[in-house]
Amino acid sequence: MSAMMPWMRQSEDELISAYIDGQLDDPSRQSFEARINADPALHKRVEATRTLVKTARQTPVVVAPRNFTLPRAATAARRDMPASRLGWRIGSALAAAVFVIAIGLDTIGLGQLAQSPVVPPPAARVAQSFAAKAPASTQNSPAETDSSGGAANDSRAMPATVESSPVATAAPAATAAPAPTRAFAAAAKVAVTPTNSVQMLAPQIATGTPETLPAPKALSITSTPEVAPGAVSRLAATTTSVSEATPSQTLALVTPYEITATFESTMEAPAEALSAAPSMPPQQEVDILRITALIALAVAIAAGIIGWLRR
Amino acid sequence: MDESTLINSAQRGDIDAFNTLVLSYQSQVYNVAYRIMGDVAPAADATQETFISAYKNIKSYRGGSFKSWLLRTVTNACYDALRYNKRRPATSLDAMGENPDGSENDTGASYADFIASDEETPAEAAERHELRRAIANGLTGLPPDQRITFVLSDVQGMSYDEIADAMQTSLGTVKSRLSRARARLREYLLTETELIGDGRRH
Repeated sequence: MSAMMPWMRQSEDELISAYIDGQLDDPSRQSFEARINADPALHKRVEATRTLVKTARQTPVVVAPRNFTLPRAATAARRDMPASRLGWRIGSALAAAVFVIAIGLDTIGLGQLAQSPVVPPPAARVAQSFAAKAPASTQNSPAETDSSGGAANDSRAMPATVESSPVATAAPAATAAPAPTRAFAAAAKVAVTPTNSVQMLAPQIATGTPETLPAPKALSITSTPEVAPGAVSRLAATTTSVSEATPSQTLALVTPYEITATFESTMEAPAEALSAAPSMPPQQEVDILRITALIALAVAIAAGIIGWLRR
Repeated sequence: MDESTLINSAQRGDIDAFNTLVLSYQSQVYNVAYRIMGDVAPAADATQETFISAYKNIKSYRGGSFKSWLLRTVTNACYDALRYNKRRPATSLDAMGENPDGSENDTGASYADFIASDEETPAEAAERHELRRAIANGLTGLPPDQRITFVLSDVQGMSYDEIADAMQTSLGTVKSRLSRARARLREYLLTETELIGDGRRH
């Protein structure tokens, strides 16, 4: 038994412990007692363990040095604690909610406006009004704006057609138009497939110099039916160059896409749309939102720490 | 007033009812804490912490043995304190509640605790006293799990089931920890002292 492996010793120790505590059934106890009688070293360990347990169980009871009763003040403190803790928890939850809402608005809503700071939010309404006017213009001069030749003749019949409005005649008046009446918003319509069209707000493409070049009144990009998926992003990239083109250019670009744009220098935005421009730039609003979110986050963290310390 | 009535009153915030329970159990709780911690001050701290925690959480008590519930709380408090301190108690020599000169120590252990009984000679009583001190020293070298298990089983005389409940562990784990604790203490007594085994003095 002297060359006993550690796991065997552990197993033997459990046997010794169970034997001393009377936890072994009769066959196991008799077998173990036979081993004890045959192994002096095991006998010694069993007896030493028995002495240890017997001595430990004779340990006298000690008397507590004092009473451990709780003072009444502890009760009062306990009763006060839940209300204050509840207040901190509510405060933390509100601060966290404000933080999430602010971040959400920043990401989903005002974040888009922040990307086009030169265009006030009411321009979207202006663009919608122009988009409503565009079909009427298309019928006026389809040939002038159609660079694809015969395709123009089919424009009314096919859903994926080029819709345009007068271009060349509007260009000279562009620079002469008074600033208050200029609108840098128009509608752009990108038709990728006959059933899938993506409409973009003109402010996102009218990144040219507004003083010398009016934005397209209506911009339509039409693909041939075999346009590949993912063309929308390429079309969006193309529209930037379209907006920077001179008004007199015929904006028929990039086969298989057909892009035409209409500029109208005398476009007058609705007065209520211009007058409704916010007094604060969108970027500033986003900044305020972000500051609010940071403050809310700080309050939530502080409330959490204080609540934890008051446990 | 019986225990269940006192517990119900304490759950409604009756501090007097709770203090009645404290007076009933503080000796058992303190003894467990004292044997585990090995010193008066940390044992008193653990005992006080136990009753404060019990009062705060008494609404979570859902019946069963109130003693086991308190012992579970005190073992948790001691376990946390042992893990926090890491260092061994400075006055572990007195952890078994006896002083060599037979005087009453600050735990309240009396001279009668270690005088010879009718069945043993003064020499045997002195040896028993020395053996307890050796066990107390050996206890300080055990891991907290094994130390608590040994105290609950062999000092407090709790059953395996009660220990498993107090330590919130399985019966098999209790048996394993207890056997390892006994084996380590036994080896300590055999090698570091001559109180048991072949070197035992008679």
